[in-house]
Order: sequence, then structure tokens, then C-alpha cells
Amino acid sequence: MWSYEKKLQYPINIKNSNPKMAMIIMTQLGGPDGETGASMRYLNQRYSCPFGEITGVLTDIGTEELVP
Amino acid sequence: MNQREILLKRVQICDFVLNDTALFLDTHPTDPMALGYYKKYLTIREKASKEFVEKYGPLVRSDYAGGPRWDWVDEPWPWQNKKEA
Amino acid sequence: MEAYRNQMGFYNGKGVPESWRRISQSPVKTPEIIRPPVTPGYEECDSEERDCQMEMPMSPMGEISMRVIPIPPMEMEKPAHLMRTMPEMENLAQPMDTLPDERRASPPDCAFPGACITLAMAYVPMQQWDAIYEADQAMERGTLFPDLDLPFFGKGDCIR
Repeated sequence: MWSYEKKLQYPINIKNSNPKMAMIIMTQLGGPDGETGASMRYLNQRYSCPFGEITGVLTDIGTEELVP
Repeated sequence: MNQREILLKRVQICDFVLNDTALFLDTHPTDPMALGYYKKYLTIREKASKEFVEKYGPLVRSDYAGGPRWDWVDEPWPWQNKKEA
Repeated sequence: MEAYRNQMGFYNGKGVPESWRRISQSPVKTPEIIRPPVTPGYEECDSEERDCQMEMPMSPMGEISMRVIPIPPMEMEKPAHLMRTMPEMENLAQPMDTLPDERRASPPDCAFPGACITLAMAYVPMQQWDAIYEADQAMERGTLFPDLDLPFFGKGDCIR
């Protein structure tokens, strides 16, 4: 179960919008092999792990990547 | 950068360091240097977070200070940037 | 091997897929048959008549003892349809011991000294807690570890 922190992971101040960069970021996030899909997979693959270390890795990476 | 941003950035840096160290510790659970580093930044993060929350409001819901108002709903939310129109 | 062939239907033509027939009818370079190097001390296995297999049973005391079991040479039938459809199978009928010396195994040449990694085995080096970035620097670089500070191209799949 997750808790929400009212802050971003990295401070962002966008001065000039850059559509090309936005396209790259959106593709990384939601496109094929995107981060969102990957994080959902990680979070659901934890339940059948034989080793605690792997469960920990999947939990932490899935949490970090789940929410933008 | 105003004071709020500076204090918030301090918390963000501590959280990031803790996150990366936690990922390392997931695969190396008994590494003593990593464990010591994590403990050190845990205390630094506590201090930075307390400093921010006292002045600018809660970061998590459990930061509620017991006042007359539920300040969790106050702006700014993380995606709201003062530079936006 | 023989049981596998029987199961796959090699001896009655049913097990050979159509695509294999097409491939086999095109001019195919015969694969070079390489004999593995002989373990020192077991030169008798290198005889012309038979091939040998190493067996390593564990004794009750936990030592590993080497025992050599000679394997009878594989008897390859040559059914007529197999000869037509898969000419490269022909060469396997030839005992490997009779290959000329230059086709026997030699140690792989390394591209450069220190690059001799065993083939066909995947491995991941274990990460160590060596030098790490300072906290602010780590935030800028995106990682705490200089070893993981790699360039980002944003292109995704590189196969295209």
C-alpha cells in the first residue's frame, strides 16, 4: 500500500515548452515498453517471487516509476 | 529560488539518495557501508522534512500538526508552478 | 539421440517439416564438426575406435572422482528419404575420430588480451559499493553511483 508525498521527486521549472522533448518523455512514460506499463508489471510480478530481495527490488522500482 | 524551494529541494535530495541506497540494499542486504549511509541520511531527511513542514505545510497526511484547519488541501500542489499563467 | 529421432518421426519422413526440406535442398555449407579438447590424463579416450564420456560421481566423503565410460559408437541408419531431404545429415554418420587434425578443436583466439570470456554464457557483474556521488551531484546526475552514470539517448529500441 502506498502513501502520497506532496512533492515532486525533482524540482521542475519549465520556462519554454519543447514539443520534441515532450514527445520523447511521453514515449518513455507511456509508449511501447513505457515506464508505466513496466511499473504495473513489476508491481504485479512481486507476488510470486521466491526471494525477498527480488520482491524488494520490484516493489521499490515499481513505486518509483509508477507515478509521474 | 525562494526559501520554500530551497527547503523543499533539500528534502527532495535526501529522498532521492535514500531511494537509490534502498535499491542498492535490496540486492546487498548486508552491506555495512550502505546501511550506515542510509541511517545517516535518514536523520538528515527527518531534520529537513521537519524544517519544511513547520513553515510550509504537510508533505504527507501524517504531517498534520493538529491545527484548526486541514491544510493538506492547500495549494500549491506539486504540479502547480508559480510560473504558469 | 536415436529415441529422439524415432519420436520426431525422422525415420518415416513425417517429422521433417516442409521448411526444412526446402532449406536442405538449397546448397548448404556443411557445418564444421569440432571435437572438444581431450582432458589430460584421459588420452585413451582419444582412440580411433570409440568416443568417451566423462562421469564425475561424488564419493561419500565428498570428493569428486573422475571415471571414464566409453560410449559405443553411434549407429546411424541412412534411410533413403533422409538422404534426399537432408544431405547435411550425411556427414554426421562419419565418425568424428577420422576427421583430419586441422578440424579438431583449438582454443578460441581472443580479440585482445583479457577479452577471453567463455562463450554462450550470460552473466551480470555484481554491483559494489565503491565511490558514490555527493548528494547534490547525485541529484543532478540522476544516480548515486558513478558506475551507473550512463548517457541517455531517448531513442528506445535500438534494433530498428
